[in-house]
Amino acid sequence: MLGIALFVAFNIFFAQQITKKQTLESEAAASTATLSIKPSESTSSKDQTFQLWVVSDNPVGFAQLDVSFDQTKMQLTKEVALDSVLSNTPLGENDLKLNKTSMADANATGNIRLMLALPVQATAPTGAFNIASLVFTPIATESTSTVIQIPPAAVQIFDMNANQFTVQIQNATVTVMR
Amino acid sequence: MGTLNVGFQSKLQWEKQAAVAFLNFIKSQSIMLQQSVRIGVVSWAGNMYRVSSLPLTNNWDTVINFINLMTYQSTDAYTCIECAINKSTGLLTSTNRKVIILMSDGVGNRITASCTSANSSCSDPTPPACDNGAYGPHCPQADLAAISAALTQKGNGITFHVVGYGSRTNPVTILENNLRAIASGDSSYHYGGDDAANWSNIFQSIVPQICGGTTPILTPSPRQPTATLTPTRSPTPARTPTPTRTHAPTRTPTPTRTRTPAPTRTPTPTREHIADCKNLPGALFTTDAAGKPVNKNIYADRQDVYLQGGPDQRGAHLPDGLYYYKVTDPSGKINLYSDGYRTVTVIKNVFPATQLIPFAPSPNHGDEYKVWISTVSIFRNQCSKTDNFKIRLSTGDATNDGVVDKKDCGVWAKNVDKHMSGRNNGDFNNDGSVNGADYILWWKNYRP
Repeated sequence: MLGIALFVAFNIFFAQQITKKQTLESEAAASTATLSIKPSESTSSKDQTFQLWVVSDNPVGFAQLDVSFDQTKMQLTKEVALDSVLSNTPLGENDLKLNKTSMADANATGNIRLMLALPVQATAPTGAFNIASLVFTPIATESTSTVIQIPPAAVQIFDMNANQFTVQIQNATVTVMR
Repeated sequence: MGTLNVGFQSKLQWEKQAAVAFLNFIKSQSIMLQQSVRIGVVSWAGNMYRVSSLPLTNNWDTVINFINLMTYQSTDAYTCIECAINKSTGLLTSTNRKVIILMSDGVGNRITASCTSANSSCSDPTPPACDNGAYGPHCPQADLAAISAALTQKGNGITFHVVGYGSRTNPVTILENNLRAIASGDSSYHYGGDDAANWSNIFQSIVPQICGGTTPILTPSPRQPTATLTPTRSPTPARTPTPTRTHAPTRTPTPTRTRTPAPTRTPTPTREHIADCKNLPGALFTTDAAGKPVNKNIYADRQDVYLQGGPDQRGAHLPDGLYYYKVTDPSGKINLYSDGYRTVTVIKNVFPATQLIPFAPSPNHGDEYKVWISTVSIFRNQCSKTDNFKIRLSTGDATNDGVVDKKDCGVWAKNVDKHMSGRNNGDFNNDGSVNGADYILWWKNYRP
């Protein structure tokens, strides 16, 4: 005579519910930011660097802007260099690439488009911070003055609550001496 | 049974087959069930030293292999049921719910104390303490030892399901009173008869009971008014034994052979209680993991949706038993379960917390779903209840796959600077424009 006994134990699993934070937050009052090109006034020299600066009263998560210049008077001599605080590759170097006009296209059209986003898991910058550097060389054959400008219509800067900043712009005036 | 063979194969072979069928049946159930159960095995023949065992595991293949490799370890006709119970309970180390499924003819004829070591010969029963009657060698003392061991372990919270086999008719080869006394209640005792081919069905019928239901999936062999060995006692004497007082060996009666009619064969049972479904009472609703909101209807994510019997929280309302459930689109035409359906068992008016994931995204533009529960796997309308719910997917989930990931950012990037609306296009704030604001919403919900 024989038999079989199966014995059964029930484990209790605690399901850890992951609570997702929904982010549709109420809109706050519009934040303000200043977008400027530095130096704002200068006498052109070879390979002169101009920097794009943002001064904001709230953390910035996204910035989109155009930079226009007279390509008959100045030319980029290097690719646009971005600071790491906002990036056109926010998911990593080998992933998604946002707009950053190449030097060749910029010199052909006189326009630079930048779309910069806060990298994943980064800390959103606030206060005064540099977002990009542009290196120009004058090509005008006569002494002249020109402006590197940021067209307001193309500017969009968003804070971390997805609210758009009210942006004040400061362009740069460049004197070309021949 | 007077022989180790039943039909064309040995009793052990039938037992192994039944046990494997039981395991395979659990394996065929929901993943959650599989993950929540650990199983061990004890087989015995002869004395306690001929008990082979497999400790608790949730590796189903290991258990099945162990059972398939079982061989006879004894050629004698002695059984120490007490040894098996003690061995099982010793290995049942879980602190959670514990169940022992015992398969035996209930005829005890050896006790732990009668064997002192692995190499010693056991004290075989001799009259007058033991007889050699209709059941073969039989010692009421061994019966009491087994019942007493079970009683002790029931007091420790272990539930005993017992499958009894043997003939109820002349010659009677089963001591059902012993088995009923070992079982945790009437519904926990299952008579497998002497038709070993039915044992697999019996084992499967136990699944709803131990896994959350009382209505057998397969109708077991009919319960005959069993050969009550103690007709003059109270109706349930065997279930509340007091071994030291009432089960003295000399009081063990000889079963009356004529009292038990032969089991009536029933048609092959079906797994689904179709006949009962016309007026299926109760309802169902969806709720969260805590089961608090009744009919919550709108959820932040698919993982948040749980099934519950309704219409309120005062019990399952659906009759005890096994139910099939699935998730479809609102029309019911598109099944969103890749595995067809899953099962849940209602027991004692309790509907266990049942999470509905995983299921595919609904093609419905409003992210609406329909959950079905039915007594039949083909989900006939008259056998089913349904309830609709919606998922308000996370902001940033452009691909509608329930997670906010880089793919969603890719959708946003593809459409950025365009006037498009809708989450699926990357317009997460639904303002008709895909821009930096949508990126911020994606960024805040992104899970690396």
